[in-house]
Amino acid sequence: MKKPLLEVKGLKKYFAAKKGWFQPKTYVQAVNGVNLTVYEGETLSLVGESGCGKSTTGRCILRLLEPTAGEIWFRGQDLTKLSQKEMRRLRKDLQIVFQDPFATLNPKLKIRSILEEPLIAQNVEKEKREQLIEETIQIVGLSREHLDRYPHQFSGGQRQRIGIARALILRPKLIVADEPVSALDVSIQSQILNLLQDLQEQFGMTYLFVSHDLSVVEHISDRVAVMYLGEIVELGSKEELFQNPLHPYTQALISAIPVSDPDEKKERIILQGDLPSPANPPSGCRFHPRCRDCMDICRTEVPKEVMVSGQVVRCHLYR
Amino acid sequence: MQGQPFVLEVSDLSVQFFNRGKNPVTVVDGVSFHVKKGETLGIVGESGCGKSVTSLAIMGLLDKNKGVPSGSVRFCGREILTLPDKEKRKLRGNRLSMIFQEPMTSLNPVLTVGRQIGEVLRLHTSLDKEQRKERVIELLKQVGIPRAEEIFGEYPHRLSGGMRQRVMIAMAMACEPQLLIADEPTTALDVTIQAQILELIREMRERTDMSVILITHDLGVIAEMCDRVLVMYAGQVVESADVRTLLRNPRHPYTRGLIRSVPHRNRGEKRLYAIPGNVPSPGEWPPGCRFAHRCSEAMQICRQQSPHLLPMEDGTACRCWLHAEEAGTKGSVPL
Repeated sequence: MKKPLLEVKGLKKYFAAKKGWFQPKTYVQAVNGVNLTVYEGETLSLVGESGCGKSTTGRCILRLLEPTAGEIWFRGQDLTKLSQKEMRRLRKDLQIVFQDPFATLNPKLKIRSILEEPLIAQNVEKEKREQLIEETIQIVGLSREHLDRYPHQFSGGQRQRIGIARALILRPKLIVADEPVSALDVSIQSQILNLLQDLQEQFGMTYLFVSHDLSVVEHISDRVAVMYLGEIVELGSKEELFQNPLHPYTQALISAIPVSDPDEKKERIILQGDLPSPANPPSGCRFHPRCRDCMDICRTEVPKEVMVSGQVVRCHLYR
Repeated sequence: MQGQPFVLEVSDLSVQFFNRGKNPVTVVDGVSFHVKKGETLGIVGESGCGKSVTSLAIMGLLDKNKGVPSGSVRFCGREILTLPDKEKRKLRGNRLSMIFQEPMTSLNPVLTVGRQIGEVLRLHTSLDKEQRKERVIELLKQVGIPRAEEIFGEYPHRLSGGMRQRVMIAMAMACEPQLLIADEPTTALDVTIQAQILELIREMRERTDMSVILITHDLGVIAEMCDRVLVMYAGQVVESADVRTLLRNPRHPYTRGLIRSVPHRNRGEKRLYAIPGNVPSPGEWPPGCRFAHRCSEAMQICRQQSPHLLPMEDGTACRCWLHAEEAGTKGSVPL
């Protein structure tokens, strides 16, 4: 039986957007009621277009952003109830890898110090620190000589390896990987994806993988959650979701992936228009203005999550 | 293939960059290719392989104090690399257009959309103000912008990424160019918007029978859009083939590696193929074949002598010692 490691219930994150002094405050509903469970040792991907709230969800889970509402259960504790101090201790088990390895490594620190910082924050003894640093740098495919260099001396792929080493060094239970390969070239991208998979096997790591790239998501995930305008519209196993997508948005998203096979002709669903602003989401189902199966009910009533053959889907077509 | 006029003929194009106090660095090294009328040529490669610099050199948009091109670029039979700026300006935006990766940085933030597109018409046509406005609105409608009359007076920051790219395309298409260079036109966009923009470029191409050079790192986009493909690595063309041959029977180990590194749904493999190492930066190119140190099939000769781009029997070309015998003849042959 799979054991849940992380349970997110009704997570909401609203950002206040001030228009003017005397105007009423408006709220950008970046994440609006997300429910998901991540099981131990699996990779759950959050996929969606820019502005759909996938990164915000990832950051709220680590409480790098304070959630507006909702519960985040991690190994029997509700993270939203913890003080910052308690949370800091718990971050030993919860780590994050960011998209841009250029921006997230301090340019003035040597790699050794970058890797040492999380260990100092968690009060690891000096000798243990040395040992962990040397061990971890080799696990991610770099060597001991690299420890005394600065970030600018590395290529993009190597920097992302350092970013991964920093997340890995405390041997966390869960890593939130926020678009870890989007900034990399394809040949480097596959190196990093393989590394992430190796670490999962070696340490039994659990990943929450945030990405907009569907082919990458299909490769690395066990289960996939598709987000649209702050809501999860469909969640299911990778096989089910890619073979048999239920939500019209998922269908359009999958059909939009360009396939590198000149003979494979497929029916393409081209969505009309752009993503609406999350400050002023459409009424009813948030996808209805772009949906080709839109019905009357979709314009007025918000669809509820329903289970259809093992997949969770939020659409009036499946009532 | 004979007899058809080439819209663009590039031969032996090289670009050197000069930085004060440093040795000049070659970024593009002896690139030759041609584009036929109505054809879409894809240029694929990873960052730093010289694909964007090649396109900027063709357009004459390199910073004069830094990048110096040499070789020959013939557009409709006329040498354009050595043209004076004034003459180049007459071509650009008129018969030769370009769209860029990040539309926000290529649009002027303080001018309205209508004014910016109108500028192209003001420079290259004799239309008066009223006619220009009419034509701009027509163009905006053609590229699928809703409420074209309203958008005419909007500023770029009020538009979404996909809309901005549509504005860029409208601008590029204003004078119905013979050649459109699209440098990573969809890289900054989401997949669903990417599908819209690719569809639009395809539509425009069919309507006006223009040629397109599409620069991208995405093999999926190549497969959907292009007739022929050049693969670039470290400033050189390493393989050139029609799209089907390239994706089905890639010859060069780099092309093969590139294709295999992309996660593919039907292959269902557990681990991805990865090309070891990194792309060498310009100025650090190794002697011999520039891909040799990452190549799993590298031989003795690869590290010592650089291979030439050799024509193959089926009309493709490949720069690799593995295929030197297949080609039979030696010596670089411009395509």
